Amino acid sequence: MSAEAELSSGPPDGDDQVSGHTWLDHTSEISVRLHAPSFPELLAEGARAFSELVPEHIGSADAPEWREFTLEGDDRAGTLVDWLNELVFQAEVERWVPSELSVREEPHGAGRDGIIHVRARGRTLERPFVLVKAATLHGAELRSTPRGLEAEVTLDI
Amino acid sequence: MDRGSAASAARRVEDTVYEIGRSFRPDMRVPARIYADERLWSQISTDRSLEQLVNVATLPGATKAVYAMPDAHEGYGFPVGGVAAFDAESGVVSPGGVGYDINCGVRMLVSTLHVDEMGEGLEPLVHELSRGIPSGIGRGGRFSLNDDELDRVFTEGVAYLVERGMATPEDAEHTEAEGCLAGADPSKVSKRARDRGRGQLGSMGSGNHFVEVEHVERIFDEKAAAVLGLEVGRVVVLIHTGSRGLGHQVCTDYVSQMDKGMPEHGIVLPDRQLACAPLSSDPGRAYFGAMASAANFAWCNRQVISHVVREAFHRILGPRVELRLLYDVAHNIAKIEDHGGHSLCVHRKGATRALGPSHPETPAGYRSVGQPVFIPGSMGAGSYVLVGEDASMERSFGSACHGAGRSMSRGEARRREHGSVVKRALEDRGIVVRCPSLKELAEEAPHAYKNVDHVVEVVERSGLARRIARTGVLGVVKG
Repeated sequence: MSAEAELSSGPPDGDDQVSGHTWLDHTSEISVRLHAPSFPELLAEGARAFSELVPEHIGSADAPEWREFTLEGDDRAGTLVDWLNELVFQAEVERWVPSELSVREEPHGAGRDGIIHVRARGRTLERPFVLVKAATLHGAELRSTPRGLEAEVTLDI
Repeated sequence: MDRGSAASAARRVEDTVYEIGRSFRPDMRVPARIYADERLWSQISTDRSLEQLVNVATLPGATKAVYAMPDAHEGYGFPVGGVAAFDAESGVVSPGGVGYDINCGVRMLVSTLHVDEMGEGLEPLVHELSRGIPSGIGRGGRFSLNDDELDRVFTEGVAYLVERGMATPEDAEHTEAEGCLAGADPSKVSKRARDRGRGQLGSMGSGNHFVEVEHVERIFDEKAAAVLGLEVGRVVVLIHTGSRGLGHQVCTDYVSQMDKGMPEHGIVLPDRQLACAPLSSDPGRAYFGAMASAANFAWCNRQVISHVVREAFHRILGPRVELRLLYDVAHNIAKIEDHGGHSLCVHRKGATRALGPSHPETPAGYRSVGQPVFIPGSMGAGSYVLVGEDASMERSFGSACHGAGRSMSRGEARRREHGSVVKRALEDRGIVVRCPSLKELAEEAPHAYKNVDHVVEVVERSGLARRIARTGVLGVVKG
């Protein structure tokens, strides 16, 4: 996989207080590199990146109701992939993509990762969005960086 | 491991075979063999294909060798164009080794029409096909199936569509596994997978999926072509799609489940996407039951599309035109097969089964030539019809490649040429194109793929399959 950027979102390099993502080339699929100051914010950035894939020609309307999701697990890279796969399902079956998110972590205690609560609202699509087959675990890992956390995820398309 | 180290450890052991020996990495259980000449090797060895193939060679129960076909390129977990077989009793099954698009595959319909008889019918035909076969990133299928109907698709495969009047017994006979992989267990398919798939039967999806109207341009073996019913000028239709969201969700479900269960099985993986379980374990059996269900859904999907294609030909070109299914082959699947008296779970990820004439599963009508194999080129480049060779059983667990193979990322393809330029270039060659998105057209541009003529030549030189016919493209409906 080459690391050539196609499209970036977020602040210029050097601003370590906010989140962003960069699309990366892959021979047959697409990959995204996410960065954020914290894990909840990384999940929110993943949702922003995913929503960006929905083309404009699939019409949409605001969906004002809030949806809630709970993510649990001691493996944060796996939780990130699970979250993206939740979004794949929502876009394909529920025809829904998030545009506004609130993500918080509830401490679990006993040295375990916390439970993640996501509250989101977004857009209802006129048609199912089926571009992304799945988020994969290929090379999935979270890295600590001076600006927080960074992860790469490969999406099968 | 850097990419260069696997490449530098490889030895060229035959004209078209490179090998990375077990000594390359201590966790390798079998060697890795790559079918390529120098030109293809220079492409395969520059992305992560070799590293991924070596990773596959570490999985428990790996037998003999793992293989990369001449069209191989980087995937996730397994390389695309990868073949690996695991002992059915002591080895593993890996959902990532099949991929998300379970039983993605290709079928060819042979019409009773000669290209000269198409008249002005080509453009309206392609338009009719694009209307009748939902495609692209925002369209579902023609039907919505309830759970009982889905269960019948899962367990009966194409035979269910014979009963529904959308297939003939000959269609089933000319489909790999007769359109029904044994071992399907609908109870192992999640509600989420059902919800993703229930509205998608008869749909193409997006990415590299397509329906192409083609004509036979060249015959390499007249006698074998006659057995397959092919002659120069004959109009054929090639259909490429898979199990849609249903298969995608089955893979998602079981990769996640097996990933969490790896410590229990004591298996250490070099890449989490290779998550697996012993085939004989509960999760292994559950995945196989769900995967077989999705495989049968995929064969039904291509069959329903074939039904739509037949209807479109009748409407546009007349009711007397017939379309016979030449064959349908999967290229993302795991199957229990006998190899030299050993029961193996053969994973083909972007690789086509290629049985020789003497194999009992080669359809009766093709036993004088071998099982048909289809290798589509890049969009508009045309395709090849080959037949399997008996020698391929020894050389690749009876497998050949599944396409030309990407040589460039989608992003790079888009940066090179706008979709409108790609479309115009095809139309300038007289090809009728229907595609819901110029962006997707650019991603599938011919320059993003290897040269199919060269790839197929290497397949034949490697003894994996032999050429029977080459087709040219008349019309493309892109996913």
